[in-house]
Amino acid sequence: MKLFNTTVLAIVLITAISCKKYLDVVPDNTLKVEDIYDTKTQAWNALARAYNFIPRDDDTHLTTWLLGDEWLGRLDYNDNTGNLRGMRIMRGLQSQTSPQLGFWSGTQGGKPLYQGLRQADVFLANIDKVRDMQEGEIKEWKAQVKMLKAYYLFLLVKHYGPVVIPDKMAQPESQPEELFLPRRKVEDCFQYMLTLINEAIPDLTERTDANNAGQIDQIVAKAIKAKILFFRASPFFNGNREYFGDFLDHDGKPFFDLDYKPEKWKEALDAINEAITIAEANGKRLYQYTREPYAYDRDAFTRNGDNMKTLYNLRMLICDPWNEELVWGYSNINYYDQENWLMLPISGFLQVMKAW
Amino acid sequence: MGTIEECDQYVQIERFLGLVGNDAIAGRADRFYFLSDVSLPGGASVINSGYRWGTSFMNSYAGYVINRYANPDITWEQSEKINLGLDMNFMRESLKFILDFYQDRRSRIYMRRENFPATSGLEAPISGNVGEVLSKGFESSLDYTKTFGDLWLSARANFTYATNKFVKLDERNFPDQYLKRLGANINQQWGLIAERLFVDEQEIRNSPKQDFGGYLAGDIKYKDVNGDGIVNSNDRVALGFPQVPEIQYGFGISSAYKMFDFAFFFNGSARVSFFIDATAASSNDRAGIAPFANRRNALQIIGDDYWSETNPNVHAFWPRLSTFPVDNNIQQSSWWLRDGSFLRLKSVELGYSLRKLKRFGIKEGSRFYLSTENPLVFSSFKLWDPEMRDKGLGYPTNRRFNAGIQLTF
Repeated sequence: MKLFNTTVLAIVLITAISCKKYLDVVPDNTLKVEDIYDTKTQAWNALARAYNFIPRDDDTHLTTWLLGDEWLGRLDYNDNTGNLRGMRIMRGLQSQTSPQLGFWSGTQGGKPLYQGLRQADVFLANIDKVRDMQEGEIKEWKAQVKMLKAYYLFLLVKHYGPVVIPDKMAQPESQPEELFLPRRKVEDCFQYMLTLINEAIPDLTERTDANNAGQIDQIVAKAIKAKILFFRASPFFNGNREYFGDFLDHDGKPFFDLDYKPEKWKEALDAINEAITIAEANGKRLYQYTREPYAYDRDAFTRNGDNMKTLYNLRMLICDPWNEELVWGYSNINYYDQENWLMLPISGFLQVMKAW
Repeated sequence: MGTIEECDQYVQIERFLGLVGNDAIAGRADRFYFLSDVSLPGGASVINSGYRWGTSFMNSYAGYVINRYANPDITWEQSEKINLGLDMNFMRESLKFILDFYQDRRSRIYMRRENFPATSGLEAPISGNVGEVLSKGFESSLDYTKTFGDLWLSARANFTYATNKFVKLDERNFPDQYLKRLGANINQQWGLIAERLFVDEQEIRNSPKQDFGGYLAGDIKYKDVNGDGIVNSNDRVALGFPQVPEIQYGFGISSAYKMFDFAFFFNGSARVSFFIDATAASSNDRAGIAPFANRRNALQIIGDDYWSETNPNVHAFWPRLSTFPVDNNIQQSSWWLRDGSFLRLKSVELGYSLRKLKRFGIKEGSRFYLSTENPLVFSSFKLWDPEMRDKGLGYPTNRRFNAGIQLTF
């Protein structure tokens, strides 16, 4: 009887254990976010994901370059031409419920930049778990992603002024009070970006190699910082009572700093000088076209040399890939959809800086 | 007291209370919804989820995509059922009446959580056990069978009423209360209120802007419900009845008199609405009636009654003609809303039995008959069969007429 009891107990136990195991299956090839941050090969995908939110200004349908009067004359495009977003905005077809080029909402050709911010946070929280990366490499990648975070935030501020800073990462189980955050003051947003950038710059490499061209290095980071400080100092953001004097939050406080602060110009100027110094030290300079002009232009060159030279300098600045004036090239070109190709630099900023 | 079988008439009341769980709460693809679902798309997805670097653009990674976030707290749905049945028999069971009330409060329904702002940065829709629906209704049927000498008669009728409403759901905190689905039927549709067609450009300039692409004179003019000077999806209100009928009923008679037999059956539904599909037809599932689009011809009704510059009827059936569907006009709106209720004569059959042909070797059960299916339908909607609902150019319900001889050897 005792033997029988023991046997029954053993059978029950075995069944219970195996049953638990049996029920605990996970479908094959299940990939979790943690698995991405396991080896360097996969972690590259995470870095690529974080970079992906850079707006695709190279694509005619998604570019902000069509936000100009010169495109309106195309009478062969009617108002139902859905994909030329910039042109739709210029035709007065911007929409509240599905914004064209909505970087906040991620609608109608706009990259969802808040997803970009969260993606960056996920990256920063997990990249330390990668097993086969050197500490220095991880630090460098982290610095790049911090720069991306700052850059996405800058794009948001540029489009929307005061924005939400989701400093605590939203989770699927988050409750409304954690999700619906107030918009921050513009100056707070700038400070948040600058903190990130100042943290990141020392950890970046000075100049990336040709194989990684398009990644953020110190030259790029300092140019971005200079641009952000330049925007912050400009009359649009700096003490703009005319536009934003009555733009108040729920507590009646202005979203934009309404007092003009000349020291913002000083900060901007310092950052710009720093950016120029490092860029020039790495062989960057204003673009000069030095090769032979195209055959069909040679005639014009002999007749009108100076003007043609200027024309070539300006044209080839855009068309000559990875030229010496390009600070940060947009490298994520769309191989698979070349009809919409424009191939533009993200920032021809060096020229802007030298111009004044 | 005798047994129930011996009773001439009786009434029986049944009652049922129950708590039922349901774990089949999501589609097959979502079976492991407590786990996250991450995929590495590879290849051409570089542009959508990855990035490439390098002066020759060869250092490329396709990134990863989150299709679903892990949700370890997911649990099953629960449904609290109350049934109350009434079963009545009169006249030795020749008259039967059954009435069945039910109420089903289904809670913890696994559904989409809508109330996430874009600023949360979550890239996949979030679902959870957040819904609760209260369904109520009754089913009833009446049967009567009687023989009067040579005449045998059987009449039957049924009537079903079913309705439901959201008691709880995670929806956006709309400033306009009429956009909320809370308290509405789960099949309720929202749409714009169409006033009429625009008369001219002058009127367009002086009306609230409509946010559905370009529009001209002869296109549908909508009402700016919240009065914010722009007509967009925030101006949609609950329109008409639910898409699924709340009332369904049927009735019919079978009878036999000497050698003849005769039967008919009606069925119908009520408290249901549908929207005419004004998009371009591309398949049986998307069988819209837009003329000229996809090289389609125009329906007669469009040819007879459309807006044109020479005949600018602002209440015409079809707005301004175009070779492609005008986005402004194909919005779900009261312009295309129709009452979907109908009463249909489902079948009629008349037969004559051949009992006197035994000497030819033909047995009982042989008969001549005439029958028809779907011969008549009564509805306020006349353009096509109301049971086809929105799909005007879909495959229609058949009307059939049969004449036959049935022989049993």
